[in-house]
Amino acid sequence: MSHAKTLGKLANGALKLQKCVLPATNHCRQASTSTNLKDVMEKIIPEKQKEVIEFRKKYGGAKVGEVTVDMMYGGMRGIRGLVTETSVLDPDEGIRFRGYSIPECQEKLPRAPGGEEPLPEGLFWLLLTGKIPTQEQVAAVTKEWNDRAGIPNHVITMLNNFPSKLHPMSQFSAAIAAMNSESKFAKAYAEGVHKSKYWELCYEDSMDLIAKLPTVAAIIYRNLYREGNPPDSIDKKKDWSWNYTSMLGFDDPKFVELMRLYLTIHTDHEGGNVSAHATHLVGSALSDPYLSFAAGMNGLAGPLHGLANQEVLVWTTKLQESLGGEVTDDQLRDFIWNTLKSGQVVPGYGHAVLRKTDPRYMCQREFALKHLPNDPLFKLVAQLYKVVPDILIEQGKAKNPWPNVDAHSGVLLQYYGLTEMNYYTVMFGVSRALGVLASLVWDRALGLPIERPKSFDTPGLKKLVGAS
Amino acid sequence: MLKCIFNLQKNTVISGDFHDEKLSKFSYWKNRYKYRNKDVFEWFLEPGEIVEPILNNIAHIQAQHSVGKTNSFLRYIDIGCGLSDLSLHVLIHCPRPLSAAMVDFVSEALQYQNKRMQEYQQMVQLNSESTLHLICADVLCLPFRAGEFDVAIDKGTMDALLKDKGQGHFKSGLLMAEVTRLLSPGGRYLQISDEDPDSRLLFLESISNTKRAAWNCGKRVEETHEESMCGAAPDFHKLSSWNFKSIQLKFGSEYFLYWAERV
Repeated sequence: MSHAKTLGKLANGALKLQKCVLPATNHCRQASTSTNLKDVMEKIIPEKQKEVIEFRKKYGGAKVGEVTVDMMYGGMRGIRGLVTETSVLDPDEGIRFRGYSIPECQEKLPRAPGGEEPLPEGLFWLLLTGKIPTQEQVAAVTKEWNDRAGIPNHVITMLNNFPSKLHPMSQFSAAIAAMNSESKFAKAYAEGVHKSKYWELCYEDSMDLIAKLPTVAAIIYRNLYREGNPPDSIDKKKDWSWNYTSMLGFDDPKFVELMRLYLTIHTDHEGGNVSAHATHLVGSALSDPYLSFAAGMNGLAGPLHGLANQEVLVWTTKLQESLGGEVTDDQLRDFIWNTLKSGQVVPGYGHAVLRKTDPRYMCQREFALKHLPNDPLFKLVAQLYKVVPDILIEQGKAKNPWPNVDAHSGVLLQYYGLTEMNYYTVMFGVSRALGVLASLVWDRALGLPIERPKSFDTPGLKKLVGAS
Repeated sequence: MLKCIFNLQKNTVISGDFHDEKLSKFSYWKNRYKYRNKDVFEWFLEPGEIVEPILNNIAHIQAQHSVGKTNSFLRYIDIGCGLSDLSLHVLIHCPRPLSAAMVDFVSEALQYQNKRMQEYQQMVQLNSESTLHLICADVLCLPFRAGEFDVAIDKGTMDALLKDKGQGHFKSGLLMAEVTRLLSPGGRYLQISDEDPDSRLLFLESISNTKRAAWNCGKRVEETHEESMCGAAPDFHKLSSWNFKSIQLKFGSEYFLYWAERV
């Protein structure tokens, strides 16, 4: 491998040719089946770099939209300002990871031996490379992450010293930032590494960080809700999600399956949402991936971003109490209609972009139908699904009356005993790491510069548009 | 095991997913307006919440039109009015007189609107110079000449068309072309919807300013669908780029007013 790299430095133009001809390396022939994720990336990146350069050469000046005063005061809503490769929201099919919808991912991504749900390791491979991985490639990622999972002692000490009233997300963010003592990116940057190497270092840090997140998240959980008993150590025979559930202290194999599904579907949702954008933004200043991801988690902690699934669960449990047991569809309809008439919304229902039920809701629903069809809370959730969209349509309250992902996740977690709602966002964060860090690697691979839009003050803006 | 799951997904066509397709059908609205016209049916929001932005747009158009025009009436059309009170509110609150038309393909809706207008005229002083015509027609083939209106309102109409999974996009394109045809220079198409700008703006752009497909509307075909042998259709109006305004309601829901101008 190093032989090829040396040759590469000497003869840039002949690089690819040399690599292929050398019998000592197997790169060329095995590129598509290599289980070494970094090697695969090394092949893909130059192609993608070239593609972007060509595109910008021809279309770099093409206009893509307009910016208005309202948009500037309105959170940049509607402004097209970012390029993110990992996922795109298709209004008709839901989120697409590198072009693949959730149902397609469920069908194509490898599963754990004996399991039915996709492994997040596989989705990470897809997000990073754009290709569906083989079972062997997924196993290789599992192994890498298990090998990289150790966390520094000072972080364990820090977590164990946090007061119990410190919100789990604050603990999570603080621990992530503190782990940057391990950052290979920061170290190399300080030593003056060349920028063509940034992506590799970002990749290394991202792999390390993702590997460490379950342990950190588990320590937080056990400190807050399990008397501070430390979690088990990493079991090399278990996959990433399985280790996470074991460390949390759960051993139901169905819960492991749920965790695999949960951690897969929450990984990414385009680049404009606060957690993805913050990670990207802070990373653009060449803050290391730990600091960048911590910034994203600080955004996820905001009530407007990461709290929706909690709201749904609270509302649904309250509803269950008010109804006092199972009710007929008509009774539920009346109840919902009264709620809407009094000006309240049904949390989790209505989606401004998707024109059908969020596939992330559907796969959770299918999981529940398979594994917990008689759980009272799920039965209520299922009944709501039957009844609410029609009411919303009939009463004209929403054009897209379908439930989104948050309308279901809380119910499943509750069933398996993870009832501590304040903790849900941490799990969301663990999953989101896969999407935002995959994007971060590509940000560095494509050499994206520091992000800095132009800001105006109100007098300047008025002058610009000719207002008095 | 793999196949089982796949089939399960395919067969679990939750009826909820397609409940709303009926909203694109004439039969649904006919039935609704005929038998259930006691309750006003307002999509998304109460007229009061949207009237002000609409009047702002109207004032804007009027300001541009006042130069060199003898007729100070602004010509207004509500496309797919249904049982909504929206245009009624516009007529009540607009400071200048309007020459208004309300269109729907269900005659019962127009009968209802007629009744509402008469009720209101007893209660509220509508601008006495304003006129109102109620027209029963298909919004995809409107019985008006090109450039006859200065402002067109679509509240939930294109949304209803889009409920048709197969033909929705195509029909929306036709609606876009029809409205564009009807607008005078500087006239505006105002669309009210709850769909997010991230997807709606892209969609509106994709169906604006495209060559219309031929659509058989009887004897109007020659007049409005003629394409000259040497290139673009005559009277091919163009719309400016689309803008939007967010309308936040009291209880957390958010709606949008999309608008574009005929250039």
